[in-house]
Amino acid sequence: MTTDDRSPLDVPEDDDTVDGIAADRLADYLDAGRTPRDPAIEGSAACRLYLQSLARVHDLSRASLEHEARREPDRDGAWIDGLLDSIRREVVGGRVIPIGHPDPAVRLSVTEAAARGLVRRAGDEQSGVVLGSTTFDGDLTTAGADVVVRVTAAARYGLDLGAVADELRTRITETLTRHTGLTVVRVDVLVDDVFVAREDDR
Amino acid sequence: MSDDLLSRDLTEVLRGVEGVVDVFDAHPVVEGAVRAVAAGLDLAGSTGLVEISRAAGSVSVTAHVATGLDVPTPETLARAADALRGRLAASGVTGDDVVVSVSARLVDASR
Repeated sequence: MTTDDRSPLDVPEDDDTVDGIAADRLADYLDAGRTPRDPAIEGSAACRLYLQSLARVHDLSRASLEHEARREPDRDGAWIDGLLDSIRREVVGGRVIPIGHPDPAVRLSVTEAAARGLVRRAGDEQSGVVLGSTTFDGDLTTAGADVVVRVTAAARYGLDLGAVADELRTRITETLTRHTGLTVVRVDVLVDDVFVAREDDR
Repeated sequence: MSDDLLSRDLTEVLRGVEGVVDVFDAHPVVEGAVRAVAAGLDLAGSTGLVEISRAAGSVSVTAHVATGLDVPTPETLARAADALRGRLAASGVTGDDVVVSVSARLVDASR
């Protein structure tokens, strides 16, 4: 079922589901290599966004997070839970971002959830960064509108946080400009956590 | 051609558009639930995913897609809309009252 686009706008689901599918079931499905193919999951944009983010969290930071969890199990268990909760809330449809087209009989758009997915991908593809939350401040319902992006992130211990933030700003601006047509006027980056890398976690 | 057949046809058209990596069900939730059951019974191939609604002489065609990262999404969506309009015209669905909406619900790596 694909109800992501029909969820009440800007109202995150308050249970542990994504588009009506339990988060645990999605995690199990990912662990099973997304086989056998589940059409209910694969046919849902929200579930696909969640799986995309979950896979990157696993791939990029499992070693470090597990390392941290052993050092401080209570703190990092909560941190991971909070991160997954943030991802789950961000994959619902949200606002509709129009994309300009000269023909008024053609209406093109990108969902806010898809845009947040782009931001998360941009962050997670950056070495030593795990993106936390993303918010957009601006009139997203106008094509090409000015928007301020605010993100939180965890960074690997020892990195130059100023350089981390600068690279993240560049990546986010590029991907949103390319895929949404929004005018990114500023990206505020708040590095609110630091994790310790293991040698094999690059 | 019935709207259901047309929907299936338009779904296939979208799957052939450069930059479109998947097509999602654009039908309202109740109808989508019925279609999900059909999908569970491996009948997905028999259902179109593009919504076609007619009211008072107007036709609204709505499609939800996943676009690829390697092509700018606005370009992909415009191509998708052009492809839909072309197939609609070939099916005799033309005029000022035909509105085509294409929304990217996901931007993903090509598969």
